[in-house]
Amino acid sequence: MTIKIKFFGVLAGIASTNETSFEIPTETNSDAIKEHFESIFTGFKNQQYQLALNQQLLNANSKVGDGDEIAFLPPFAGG
Amino acid sequence: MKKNKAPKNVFIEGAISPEKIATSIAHHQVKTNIGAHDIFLGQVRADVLDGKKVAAIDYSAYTEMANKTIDDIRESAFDKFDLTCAHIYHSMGKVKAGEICLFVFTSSAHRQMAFDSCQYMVEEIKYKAPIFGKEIFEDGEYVWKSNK
Repeated sequence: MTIKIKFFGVLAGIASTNETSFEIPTETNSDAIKEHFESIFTGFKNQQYQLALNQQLLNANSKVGDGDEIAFLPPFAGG
Repeated sequence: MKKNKAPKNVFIEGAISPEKIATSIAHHQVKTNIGAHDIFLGQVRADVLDGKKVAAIDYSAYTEMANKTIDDIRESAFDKFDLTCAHIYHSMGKVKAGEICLFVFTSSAHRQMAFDSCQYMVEEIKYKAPIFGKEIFEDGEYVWKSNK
């Protein structure tokens, strides 16, 4: 099962990449993905950010499955 | 009602030129049911942070989501207000201090709908669109901007 991961803004800088993939044997959830990447990129813990699942902002832990896209979004600064 | 088509790309590389804004106004002269336009222009401010002046903002975005979000905002403005036209453009990449980075243009039969819808869309874009800005100082260092 492959999940597409995207990083933006300050988080892309910390991760040194804009995009990666996450391979897991079974369905997972957004909290587990967050925890996984916070353990790899420890600087994430000091940042404010929210997650989007398939381009929808998440406000609660959600199931994530094969082919889904999770984006790590720091504070918005448009305009 | 939601249209069944791909969202329009709102992003323009670099600053939004005053000529583009003038041309956009001119294009509406054939729409004689319009009685009022309102325009919001976001301009890059040369803020001073810790004694260092901002020279430019380098914008990036989660483009697909930002286009979809802004399309939804525009559609919701048509649902809420009696609008004839609504156009939104945002810069991508580097925009120098003093240049325009956001252009929101609303048109209606009467002024109140043009004012209210323009303000509504600007606030929604700032709050909901996944657009990121790196404030670059004159010495080349930078900080990530966050909307208040």
